[in-house]
Amino acid sequence: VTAELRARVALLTTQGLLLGLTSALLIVPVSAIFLQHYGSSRLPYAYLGTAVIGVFLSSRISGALQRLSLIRLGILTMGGAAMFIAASWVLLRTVDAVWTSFGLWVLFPLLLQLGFVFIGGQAGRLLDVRQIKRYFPRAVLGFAAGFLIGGVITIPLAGRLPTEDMLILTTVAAIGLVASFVVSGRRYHSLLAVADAPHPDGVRLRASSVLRSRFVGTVFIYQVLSAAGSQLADFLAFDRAAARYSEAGQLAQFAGVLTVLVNIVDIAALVFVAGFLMTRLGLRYTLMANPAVVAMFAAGMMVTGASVGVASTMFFILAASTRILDTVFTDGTTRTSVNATFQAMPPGDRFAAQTAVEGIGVPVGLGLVGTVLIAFHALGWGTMAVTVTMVVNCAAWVIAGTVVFRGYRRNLAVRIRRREIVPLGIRLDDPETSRAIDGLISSGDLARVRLGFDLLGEAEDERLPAALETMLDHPKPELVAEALRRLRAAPTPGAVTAATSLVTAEHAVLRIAAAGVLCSSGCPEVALPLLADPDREVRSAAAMALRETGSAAVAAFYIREWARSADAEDRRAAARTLGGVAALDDRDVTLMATLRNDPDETVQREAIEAAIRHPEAPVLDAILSGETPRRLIPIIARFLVSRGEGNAELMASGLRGERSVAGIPRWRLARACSAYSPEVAYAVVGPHLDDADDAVRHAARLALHGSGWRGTADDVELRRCLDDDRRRAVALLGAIAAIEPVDSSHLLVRGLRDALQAHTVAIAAAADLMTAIPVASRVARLSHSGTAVEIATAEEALEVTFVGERRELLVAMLRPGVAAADRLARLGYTVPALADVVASLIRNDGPAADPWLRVCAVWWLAQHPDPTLSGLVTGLPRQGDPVLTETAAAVLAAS
Amino acid sequence: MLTVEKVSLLASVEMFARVPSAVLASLAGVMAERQVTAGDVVMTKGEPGDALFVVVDGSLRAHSGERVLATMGPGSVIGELALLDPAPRAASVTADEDSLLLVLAKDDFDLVMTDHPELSEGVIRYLVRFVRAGTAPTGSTA
Repeated sequence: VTAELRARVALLTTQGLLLGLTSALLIVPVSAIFLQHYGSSRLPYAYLGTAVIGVFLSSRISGALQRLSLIRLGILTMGGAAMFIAASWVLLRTVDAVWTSFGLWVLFPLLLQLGFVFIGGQAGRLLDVRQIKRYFPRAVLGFAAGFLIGGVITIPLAGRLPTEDMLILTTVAAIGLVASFVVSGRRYHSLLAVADAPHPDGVRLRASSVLRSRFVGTVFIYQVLSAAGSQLADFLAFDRAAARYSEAGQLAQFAGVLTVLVNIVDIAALVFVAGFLMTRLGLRYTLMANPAVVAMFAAGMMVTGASVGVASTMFFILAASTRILDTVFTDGTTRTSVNATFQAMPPGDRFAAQTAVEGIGVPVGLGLVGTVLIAFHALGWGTMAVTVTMVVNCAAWVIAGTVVFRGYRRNLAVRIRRREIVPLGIRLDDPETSRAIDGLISSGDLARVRLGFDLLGEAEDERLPAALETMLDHPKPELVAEALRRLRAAPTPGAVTAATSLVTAEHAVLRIAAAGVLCSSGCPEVALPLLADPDREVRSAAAMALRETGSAAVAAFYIREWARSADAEDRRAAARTLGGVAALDDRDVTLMATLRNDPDETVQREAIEAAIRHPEAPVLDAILSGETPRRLIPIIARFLVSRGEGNAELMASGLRGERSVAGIPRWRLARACSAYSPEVAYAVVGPHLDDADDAVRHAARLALHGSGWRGTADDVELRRCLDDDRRRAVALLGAIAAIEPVDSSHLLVRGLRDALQAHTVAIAAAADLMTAIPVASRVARLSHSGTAVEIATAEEALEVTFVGERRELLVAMLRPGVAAADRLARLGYTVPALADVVASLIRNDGPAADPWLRVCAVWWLAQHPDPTLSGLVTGLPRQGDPVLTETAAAVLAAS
Repeated sequence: MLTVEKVSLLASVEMFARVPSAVLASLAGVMAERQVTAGDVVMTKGEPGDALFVVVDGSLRAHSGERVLATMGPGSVIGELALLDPAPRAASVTADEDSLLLVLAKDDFDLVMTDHPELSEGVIRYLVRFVRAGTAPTGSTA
């Protein structure tokens, strides 16, 4: 925890304290004045007033977001509240305007909720999502402490001061809150005091537009149900108290005791439990904790009410307990959880969403309760009906919590997902773009001219043929050739005339382009002389073009001649020509097989490249026959991919090690399977997800992922795979933790770290096969290159996406900057003995077994002799691995 | 030199700092040792460059005529750009004292990279640092 983080949390806590103080100093005098003059029967109307004014105010605040900064809005809103309180005091003192108490009563929940909106909004910009979960409860704790202090202050003042004069203190506290906002704005000017940038989609964010988002909508419903639940709990507690204590003094005493009890339990919970719950349980449970607990008690009240009656002591105790627990869970989990959900949204949308959800949701919740209570009163329904309503409300609230969590999980994953590049449709209908295209085409630069033609082509612009014809007169040969190439598909008379004259052109590019146009325009005889052109490229191009026309036999004759040539350049040209023709016949396939096994590697390469262009031709055996030079392996692998799923069985047997596929390493075979459909990819690489070879295992996972295959969290194969991964992770972490303290710079430590890094990537790849969005791999990447906020968001996404042992494994492996011993401890293991680790690596028999680590472990003994282990090295020089043999021999010689 | 010794040396070379040691072992397997004595010319300006040198021991200087451009000691790399883009050497390199070098030919480097694509990632990261800084690697003067 840095000093800066402490300062930020302290500032938010202070603001919470001042908000709590203001709220307590407001509600005590206002409730006294209001209830004295209007009685509790008017309270539902105050709830409705809160709803109407709250919705209006919050909408205005959302709308003002693009003109005013968060902190300025906060200062204006809270400053306005302070002025309203001061003005009410003046009116009460001067003209005894008790009606102002209605406004002040309405103000109380709005002040409280908007205060939290502004404090939460600041938290969203000053803290990352994990810090919010951990430290936002402290701001809530500040609020509870402030509320308690405010309540304690009012006790000695009651009776000594006229009730309305307490509003002077309320005004002072509200001004203090405004002052704390000013301090915040000055200290964190760039984060808080700058208005949001315009929305990238040009949308003006308003409450109504924000709430149309499915995710924000569900959080809004959750907030409405939360506010309604709290209000119903509050109502039931005071309703039962009013029924139980007929004396005003007794009622006041009960209210005082309940308030103190609520605050003490609340503060204790916030200090000792809330942070723990938030960080340990995660949003999955904290969003549901409050409604679940209240639902349980409400159900208890319903059963008690039905069996022994609502007037019973048991019912009364349950109602009071529900009120206490609701406050504790609202402050301890709900406020922080709702605040954290906004971190799953783009930063520019967060405050607007928060204002809409909390600023409007709470008043709407209060309004709904007010309406329901008025209706129940009119219908003559009593406490039991309210209790049943509360149970129903809580059930809906639990469901809303589940839906919000799913949306949060999905949105977080989307937030950390790599940005996708979406191709935009090209429109050339405005004069400026047209001028730009004309500029490209007339630039005289080949790359720019190509771009201009491409743009016209993609937009299917009718100016393209004319532009191409114009280019035929250009003095630069490469531009004329480019135009001819593009005219080949539909040659114009001008193109044919130009091509005829260019057969004898000085520049080879022009002769090549001319051959193409002439053959596709039905004049192949004009191009025939090009088969004997001194330039191989021209001959090859002419042969390709002629193969498509009536002169195919002539072209084939030339191709065979080149293939038989002693000059490798000619043979390469033959292979290249075969790659360029539209379809191969049997003789071509035979020729390609010959060229594939040509003694010259460059000819082989050209032949394989040519085969790739003919996935339909029966050239598989020809290409896979014979030895493959190592440098040609990647293009053979590409060839296999181009063949599609027809060779899946061949790949499967190659992966099983039953046959060699042109000498291609098994990991390359596995990677190539990403081109298959998900089902075929799974059939081929599925059995290798936990292959003993690291490279194969990893490649199989990536290939399966690339194919689009997705399993489920319950997939037996994937679970077994991750169980194996866990054992290897534990072994590698244990080895690092045991060896690092002795000699952290040794090659063995580096080797182990490399192996751990590779294993971590493989684990993430396996985990991603269980989710729709690849969260784990993204976290692995961000943990190395992301900003602090990105890393925190990614870790949160990881924690909410996975559960149980899988989550523990991924968090232990992917969290950056954690020592191996700590990762090991997180997985529930202790550091093994050094000698055992080295012995296991040398024997190559544990989960961390690896040929290179074995060499490094033997080398370790050269620098760190251990008589108990030297016997393990004695037999090694006779083993097959030459690096192991030389290392062991050196170690033995030294000893 | 043992393969593990070569790997230990390569691991300390900045260019290969991010390359997994198992991949460095493959690289070490194709690197040849070359002993030069003081005054030997390791490379000449203008010659086509298609190999990289890692100084194991000794001292060498990169120079253009009499002008010394850089001096290189153990752990230094000479001519790394030649691995990716063969071109005439930009400077000559002469041994100031008896030195031991490891030589990596471009063809061998390409072969190892075929089997271990992560090698290119490590090298690219190394080069990108210089592109960002607008400078060239020290050894690339040769």
